[in-house]
Amino acid sequence: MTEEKNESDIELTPTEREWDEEADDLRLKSVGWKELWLKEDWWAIWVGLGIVIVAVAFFLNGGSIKWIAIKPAKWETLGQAFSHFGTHITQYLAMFAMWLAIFVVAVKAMGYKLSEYIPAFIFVFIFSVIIFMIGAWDKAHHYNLEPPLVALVLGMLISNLIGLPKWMDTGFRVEFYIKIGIVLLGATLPFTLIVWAGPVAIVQASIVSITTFLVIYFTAKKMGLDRRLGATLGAGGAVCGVSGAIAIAGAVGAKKEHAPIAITLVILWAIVMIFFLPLVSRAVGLHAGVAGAWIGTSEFADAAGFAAAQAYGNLAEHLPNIPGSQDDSVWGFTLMKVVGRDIWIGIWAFVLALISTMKWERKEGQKPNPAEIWWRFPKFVIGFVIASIIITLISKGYSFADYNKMVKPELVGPVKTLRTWAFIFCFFSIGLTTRFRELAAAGKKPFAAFTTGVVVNVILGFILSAVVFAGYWSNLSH
Amino acid sequence: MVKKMSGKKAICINCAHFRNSPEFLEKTFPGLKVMSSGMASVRADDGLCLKREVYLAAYYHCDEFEAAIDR
Repeated sequence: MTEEKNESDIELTPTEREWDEEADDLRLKSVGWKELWLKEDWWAIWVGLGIVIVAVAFFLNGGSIKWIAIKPAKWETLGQAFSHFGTHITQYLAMFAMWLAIFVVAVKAMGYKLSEYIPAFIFVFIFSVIIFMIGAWDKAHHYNLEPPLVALVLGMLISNLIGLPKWMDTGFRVEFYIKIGIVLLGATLPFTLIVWAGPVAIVQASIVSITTFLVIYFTAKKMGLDRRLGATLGAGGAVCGVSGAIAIAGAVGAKKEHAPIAITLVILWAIVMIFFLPLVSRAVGLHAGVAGAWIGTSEFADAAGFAAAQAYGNLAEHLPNIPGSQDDSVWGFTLMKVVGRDIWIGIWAFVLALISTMKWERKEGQKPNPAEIWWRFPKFVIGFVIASIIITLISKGYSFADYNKMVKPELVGPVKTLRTWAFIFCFFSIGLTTRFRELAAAGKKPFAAFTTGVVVNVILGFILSAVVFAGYWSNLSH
Repeated sequence: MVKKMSGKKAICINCAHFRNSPEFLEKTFPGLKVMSSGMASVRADDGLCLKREVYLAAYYHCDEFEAAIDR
């Protein structure tokens, strides 16, 4: 890592200086309930649940959205791949139009420029088709060309070696796409599973999160780093990655440079873990559900974790020596990361805000607001749970055989396909927005503190997932 | 005790030095949109104080408050 920043050398960047003249535009009044149309979390609910409800409506009337939820078929030769695409071009165009129409409404409401978003999304979609096609090659798994990994690497190569205009970032909305994907994932995850495995996920995740946070925080403190930086790093490594870091940075009143340091370290380690965790899981032949839980414990960001879980799940579908299914891997990850870690961020923020204002920098009248537990709650999880409840209720009336014959191919399957598209948009966008030159310098001490936590997290996560709670994670499908 | 100035609470969200638009934060914090977003719920109304150069919750306050002029 490069040299440590001198914390007193703080200057407004040219961007901040010119923006200072437009101060009023940069200071939003409290969003409050306007977040229903201003925040990505809520738009993920509207989009995700909207798709689920439309899918259900078609299904209950004897139809299905599977015509528009098209995906590449398996191919052995390029001729087959092109033939599939040629035969189904109308469906691909219809699906593109569907996504564009939905996203245009959402991004316009959130205040983005459509003149930037539309061309950027066209770029994302075209490459997503290519990436999905590569993943459908019958030799893809042999060469580890899993779509999430291909998307990530291709995106990083494009952004770091070729470069794209900055305005295109408007279309590379990582968090927006992954949150939509998670809501759609809810429709493919039985609510009974959330109830059964949720408590285990919460216990396991709490053990690892609290341990990791304390390791990072006290290592940082021992190295003489600011307590607020220690807390920001700890949240990034223990709770929910960049989102965790930014939430806690705000709660504790961190210095301006603390959040970028934590963001850099989370991104770097999250990308390493996308490859490391599935690789080690494959080497030891972990059950897909166990690997998913481990990834959920030891990955830092939802988007990165889904990339790893989906990649390993794909391997489980195609390699005989890896037990379990793609569903096991993705379910295990989701339960651990979303239910076990993400939903608690508001409580972490409130507790650390209390500690910060009452112990670190005691100020008369400075009191954290308990309402922030709700305002910081990752609202997309509500959509995830509702989607799960809707599909679970519909599936209740079917026998196992009828579920597999009717519900899976006509309702759940198409929703799962659209979910996969949303994930590919997300993974490709991660790569396109990861410009290593632009990341803040982290410094040796923050790197050391964070990495200490990473090591503890990975080992403890493995022990709990693969040994202590292995029985749960390897039986999710049952 | 949070003072009131011109009928508004003297807290960061009403201060001239506070910046919290999602676009500004995404430009100011490199990497924020790689695995998070200025538009995420977890961020609530948090923003950057350009006077004290800290990133903090909108309901905090300090002695250097200056009421923002609303258009």
